[in-house]
Amino acid sequence: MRFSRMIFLLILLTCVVLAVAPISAQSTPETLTIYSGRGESLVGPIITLFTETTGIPVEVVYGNTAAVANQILEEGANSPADVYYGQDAGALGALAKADMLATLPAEIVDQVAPAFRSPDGLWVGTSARARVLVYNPALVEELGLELPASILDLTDPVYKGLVGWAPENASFQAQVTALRVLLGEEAAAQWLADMVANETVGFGSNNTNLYLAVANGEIPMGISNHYYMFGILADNPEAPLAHHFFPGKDPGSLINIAGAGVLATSDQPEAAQQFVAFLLSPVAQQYFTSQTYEYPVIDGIILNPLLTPLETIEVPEIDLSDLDDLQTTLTMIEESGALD
Amino acid sequence: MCLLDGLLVMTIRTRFTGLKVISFLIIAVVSLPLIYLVLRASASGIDGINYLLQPRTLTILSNSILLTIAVVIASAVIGTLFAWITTRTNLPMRRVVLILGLMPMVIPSYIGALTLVAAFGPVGYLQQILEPLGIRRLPEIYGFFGASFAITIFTYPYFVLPVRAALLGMDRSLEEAAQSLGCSRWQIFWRVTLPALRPSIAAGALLTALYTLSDFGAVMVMRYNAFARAIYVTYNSSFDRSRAALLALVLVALTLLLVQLERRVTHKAQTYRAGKGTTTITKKLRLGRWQIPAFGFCAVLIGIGTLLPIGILLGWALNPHVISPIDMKLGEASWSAVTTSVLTAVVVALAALPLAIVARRTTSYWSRRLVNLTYIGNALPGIVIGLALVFFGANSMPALYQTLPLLILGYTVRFLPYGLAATGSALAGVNPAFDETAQSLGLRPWQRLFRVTIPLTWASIIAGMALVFLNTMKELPTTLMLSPIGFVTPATRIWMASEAGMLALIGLPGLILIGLSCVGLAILLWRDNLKG
Amino acid sequence: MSLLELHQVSLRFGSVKAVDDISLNVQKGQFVALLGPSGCGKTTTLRLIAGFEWPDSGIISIKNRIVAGENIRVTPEERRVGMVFQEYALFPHLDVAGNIAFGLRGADKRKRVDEMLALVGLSDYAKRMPHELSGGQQQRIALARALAPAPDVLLLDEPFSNLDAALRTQVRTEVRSILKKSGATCIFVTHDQEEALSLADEVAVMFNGQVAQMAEPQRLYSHPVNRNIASFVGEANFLPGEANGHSVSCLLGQLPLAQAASGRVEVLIRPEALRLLDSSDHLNAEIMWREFYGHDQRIGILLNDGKSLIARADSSANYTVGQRVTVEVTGAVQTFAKL
Repeated sequence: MRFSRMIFLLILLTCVVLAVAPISAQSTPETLTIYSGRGESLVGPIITLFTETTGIPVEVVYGNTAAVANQILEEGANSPADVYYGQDAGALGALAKADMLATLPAEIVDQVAPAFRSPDGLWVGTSARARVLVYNPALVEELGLELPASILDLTDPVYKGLVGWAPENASFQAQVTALRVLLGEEAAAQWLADMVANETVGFGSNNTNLYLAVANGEIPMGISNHYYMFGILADNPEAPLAHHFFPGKDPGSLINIAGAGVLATSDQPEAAQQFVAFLLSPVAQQYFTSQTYEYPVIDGIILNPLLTPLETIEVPEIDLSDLDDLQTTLTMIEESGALD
Repeated sequence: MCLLDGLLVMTIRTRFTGLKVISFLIIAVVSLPLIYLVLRASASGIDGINYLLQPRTLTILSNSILLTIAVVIASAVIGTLFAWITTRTNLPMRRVVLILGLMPMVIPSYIGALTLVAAFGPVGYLQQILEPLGIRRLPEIYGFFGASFAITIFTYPYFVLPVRAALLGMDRSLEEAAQSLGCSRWQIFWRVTLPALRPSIAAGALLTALYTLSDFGAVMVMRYNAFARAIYVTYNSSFDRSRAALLALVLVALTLLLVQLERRVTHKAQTYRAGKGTTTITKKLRLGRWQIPAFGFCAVLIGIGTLLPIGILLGWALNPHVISPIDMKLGEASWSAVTTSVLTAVVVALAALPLAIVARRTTSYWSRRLVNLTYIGNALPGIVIGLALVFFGANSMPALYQTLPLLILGYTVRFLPYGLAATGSALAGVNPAFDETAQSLGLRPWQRLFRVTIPLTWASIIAGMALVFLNTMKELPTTLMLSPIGFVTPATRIWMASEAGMLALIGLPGLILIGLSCVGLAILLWRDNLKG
Repeated sequence: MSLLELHQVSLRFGSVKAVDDISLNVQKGQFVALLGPSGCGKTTTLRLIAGFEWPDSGIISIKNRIVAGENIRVTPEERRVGMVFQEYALFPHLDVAGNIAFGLRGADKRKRVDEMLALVGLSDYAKRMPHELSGGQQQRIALARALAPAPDVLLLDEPFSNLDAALRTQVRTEVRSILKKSGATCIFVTHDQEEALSLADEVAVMFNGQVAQMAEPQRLYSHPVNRNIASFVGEANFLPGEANGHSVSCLLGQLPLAQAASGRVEVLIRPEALRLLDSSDHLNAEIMWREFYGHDQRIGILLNDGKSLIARADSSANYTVGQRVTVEVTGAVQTFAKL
């Protein structure tokens, strides 16, 4: 038993050392705290660049967009966060609704088209992503399918069981909200019900899995966001994937954003605003299009040649701030049976 | 030591009252998520009740219950059989088979399910192998079958460990008595061995059931609409924390019911223990012509649960096309994960000791009910535990918020049941007379704790710690929400890569996670070696 | 014709000869004890008969059917051998009736269980669980369970060692009458010579894996074949002596011999053969200690020349420690050749 007691004491010692260490290593007040709902592999380099450019030290909490927003909601007034940076207008809207965000200066928000920012200037879009039909060209040809002209055509029996979607994903929910805004509640609910009846294949909240299923031929097509394709092509350049943008200002060609806001409780709002401004700087915008395959939200940026230029996509006319009524959308999705 | 001594003196003087005080403090801390849920849920009022009574809610609840039942039954059958084959027969390479067969326990369910789809999906590797035979598509793996298949593969080791321990400690004369009364091998297994294994199987069933209820990764990949998934959707889409809390409270109720059920089975079995039963079984059954089927059974399990995920991770890791855009800091991540996991294991073991003593050595109805509360942390999805401690951490103890101690507290809340189960069962086997003997020899309370109780239960405590270690290593939601800023572990690195859709970047941290977890596994088996 | 026969059976565990060339015959209805110190191979012998161990060599046959021998391996479940284990091994998950019915098949199960319960006198206990029974009751249920399928041979492994002394004698008598009533052939293992002598029709004494002597209890006690058996079976005093045909001369004088011998020998004198006389002359010993048992008493004495002996006397005699007495031997004595 002497041996075991030795191990026990050793573990206790580690315990004490480690428990004391982090408390002393608490951050200094000058450090800017960013809560990022976007992964480190996507935004880590640009945040590093921010510190190198401005000299402002930064610490980042990474997590899922919604989880991090929920975390801020739970922290309430005591939130250590200075900036929230997420990839879904809904999460930004939820924070704005809870009065957690401070108004951004006009010179920052005015750089961005009104469609890509909060009307109250509480948050601003920093990069844009398009809804798209992803398909497997070989499989589509083999099955003798034609690509649909509209997202509304996916309810056609020829696509029965052949289309994938991710109904738990925030981008999809924004899409449904757009349908409600553009076509009315009834038509949107009908579309959802028809899609479910047409045995649309659900992928939860996971667009990556949807893309993989299309790439390996499990299903010929799915509706998703555009940028996942390039990550998979980087893994496997041979992956049989292609994009189809619905023409004619179709609700299926919605453009959504990733964006940021400054916390109302931030103890260093200037640095926080500086960070948001940095995300809109040409350097950052160029980074987004080149490295994360997103669309820039300011003019004068050279688009990643892999991307279909935004001008050639016939985007539906919709104001993103109209998309904040998430609860109705979610109830509608739940009632359609898409989640069951 | 002085404080501890004092508390323990108080304990003895007041017949467990002091110990109860410590236990209640621990229970209060691990019940924080429950308090949080009640707080949040109460905000929704009547609306919330209506929401809960919706047919949809009842559907997903029955989905989860069905899944749990299927997984528990399948895991119990597979786990018990595997344990029996590797302890009782002359199967060649038993030890290697055992270690490989336990490995699925260390593989995160999200990765596990993903690899199962890659292999057995409609157009997975299996289909590609069968392609020349004209098979273009395999039947759908998704849904109820896929979810129960995946979770079963990754939970059956929770049965192997306790059942193996019970088989090793079983009184030989029981089976011999049955044999002399004319029972065949098969009859002995059904009529004597299996009933004797009941408490171990019940313990495994509880852990597996809680795992299934709280699991999110596998059901998401397998597209099965389980309760945990609904909780995630409610948090992520509508940011409706009170509804999510209501749903979580249903899981809490279910957990308490399950714990009660397990208690009943185990309790009965314990009072049954009649003889002293000292001679254990060392002779191995000769498999003869059964050797090939037995080996095949183990090989299939190991192939699917261990070799397949490792192989696929290896394939991803070796993808030459992908270079990480950021520093993966895998060395630092490994170090952080190992140290916090070891720490958590120690904290859980320390917290479990007084709780186990109270649960085993008192007859008070309420004391034991309260101890049951510690199980809820294990049945709730990680995000619930995370948000609860975010709430209390940021608002009640800001000095601790986003520090290592709070992270470890979060892990402890989540994994205390593993420690409690191990220490509890070990204490049940310790005669109280030992403690009384030490007392009569003049040992002070803390001396007795360290010189009698801990040495006697040491092996089990270590096993429980190893289990906590394994689970902490792969825990994701709690880590993301509660860790100090900038804290990375292999699990968060896997998440980062999968979030970005970069499977190639999952490979290396995935292999590191499995490799490091094997150390925990080695400790589990080292305990077996001690037993001989 | 014997019911059970062991012919030159041997079994090694590694380098240890647990059972070394044993031959044994047991007749139908006989009650045989295997007596010996722990580690002498008696339990292994029992397990060989039950079929839990396989002999390295030799033949075991039951009812003229070879159950273990070269190329023959009859498994325990096919041997029709009942066994009562030292810890009883009652199935903790079954009640008393379930335990007794365990080895039974067919429709008459319940009737047979009732018969067995009546036999062991526990008819009211059918629904009790094993842990609710006293040690003696568990013992009887284990017996009933083993007897229920009417085995050809019943084996009992240290059947009374788990009972406290007060209970032991009573249970022993009960068990013996139950077994005699059932007509079963029994072999039981014990290290307690009193138990073996009082219960068995025949006792086989084992040392080092071998049967040293097998005989009826009385004969074993009065005519042990060697000094080891003499001291293991009952209490024994040994004195050196010089045998001369039908008598032997030793410290206690010239004693008659039961069997003729000659030369230097050791004289066996049982404690009850010593008589202590309270006479005034020829006082050759002193009382050193005294243990009173009620029915009799044990007395330690020291002979004048420094040799200590143990004597037994009936309870009426009154001795005090330090008293000087005259020691005499009654009856003929046995001798063993000096080693």
